[in-house]
Amino acid sequence: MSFSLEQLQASVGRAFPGGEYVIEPWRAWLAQDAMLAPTQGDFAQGVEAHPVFVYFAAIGAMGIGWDELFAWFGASAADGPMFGECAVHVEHPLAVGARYRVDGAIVSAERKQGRSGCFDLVGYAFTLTDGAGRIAATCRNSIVFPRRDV
Amino acid sequence: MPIEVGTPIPPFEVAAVSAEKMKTMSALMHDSNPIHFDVQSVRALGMGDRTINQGPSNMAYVINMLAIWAGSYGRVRDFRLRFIGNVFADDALRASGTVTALRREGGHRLADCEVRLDRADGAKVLLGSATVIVDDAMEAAA
Repeated sequence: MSFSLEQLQASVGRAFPGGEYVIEPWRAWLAQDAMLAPTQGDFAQGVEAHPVFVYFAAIGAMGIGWDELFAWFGASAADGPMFGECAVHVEHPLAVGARYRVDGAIVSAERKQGRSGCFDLVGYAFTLTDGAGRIAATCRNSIVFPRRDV
Repeated sequence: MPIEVGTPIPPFEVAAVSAEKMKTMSALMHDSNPIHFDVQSVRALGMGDRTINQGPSNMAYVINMLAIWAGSYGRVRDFRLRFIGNVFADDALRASGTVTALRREGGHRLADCEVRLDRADGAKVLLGSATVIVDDAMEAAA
């Protein structure tokens, strides 16, 4: 059964369970090594973390897995969902060792017609709040769901 | 050398994307998609015979370029990147960018930049924009 336009539109505002994410020093070390990133300091508590950790924290603590997110939109990994865009704003640089509260929701959902057929473009956004209660960063992403059956 | 509109950002180049580092990224991100670590799965999907790099790694190469230029991770304040194409194991890559505007905000001098990541064969991977804090020391060093 196809995922209806009404179902798609009703998804806007749906909140993620959210959670907490700690940028563990070992995780910062491994990530920066894997991303060929320059090292800053010795990965001790308080050293600035790579800005991609905004995305890692958001996805890592959104409270559901990818399969469940795809299922919210009547899809699975086999349908070939694709990354659309990632937009990050950093208000206070993330720090190695710090703990962040992650909250997020579906913020947009549109059905579109492209050269390769119908697809749904879904926007989902997160805020990262630090231990002092400040919004440290925001992360807004989009995902593309091909709709071959629409 | 002053930083001005049109100033190119020193590029960040990857000589050959490592399949082994993709495995590390899969583990770090709890990413179970086998296209990042299992060549057989990539073949079965008709996507070639090399594993496919994670999107966040591709983003990171662009941010590496910005952080090296600006002097620290904390100076990279915004980035918005659109995923255009895939990167495969052993691909050579080049992240590049240009200053498009300069402004002052919150006591900082900010450079808005157009950024991109391309494969050595010319295929586009990422296109987007970013904002970094710039200062006089950067200009003195340029």
